[in-house]
Amino acid sequence: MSRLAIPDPPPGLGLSAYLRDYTDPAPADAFSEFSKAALRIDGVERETLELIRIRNAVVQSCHL
Amino acid sequence: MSFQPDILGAAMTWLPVDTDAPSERDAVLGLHPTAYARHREFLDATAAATDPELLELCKLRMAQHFGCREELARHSEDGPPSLTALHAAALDFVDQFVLDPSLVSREQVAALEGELGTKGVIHLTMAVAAHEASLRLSTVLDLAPAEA
Repeated sequence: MSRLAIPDPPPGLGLSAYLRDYTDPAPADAFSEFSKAALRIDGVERETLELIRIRNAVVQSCHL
Repeated sequence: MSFQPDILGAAMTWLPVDTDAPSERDAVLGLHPTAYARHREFLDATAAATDPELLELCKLRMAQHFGCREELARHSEDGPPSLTALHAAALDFVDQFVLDPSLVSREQVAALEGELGTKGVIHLTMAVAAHEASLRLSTVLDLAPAEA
């Protein structure tokens, strides 16, 4: 599971949703709002951005 | 005093920046005002959930890794830090985080967790990730330091 000293999440609950139980929601909510605003920038093509995200996830071994 | 663009060391830029902006960051990132506003709110939210002194230390370390002149200038008059066990654990974590986050070890996380608790580690990680991205952005765009 994660590198944190917490129990595994219940079956069916994603790690991101699970970790929200351990955090102040303000930073996560602010990230969500920033992400949505960034996607609305003129010239940001969603498909290209997804490819970059996938490439970065592979490079950084991110399993989400 | 109006802002003088210093992008890429030139006195002028092709970017349609607001030359009355108080800093190059505001001028450049302000080209997309909504995204920039949400970006600042995200940085502020992560900072508010973290020990400010610890975050400043982490930001300085990342700026040194990246050669981020905008951030380094903010610390130009800082004296040498006296590192606590928490500071040392955070800097060890940050050093690995910026190089390859997948190789941050359970021991590095546990050292921080012993100092901050699980919630504190998650908050610090979010803050480090948010500010790392901002510092990388600044470094890539070579944003000039804000005038004091």
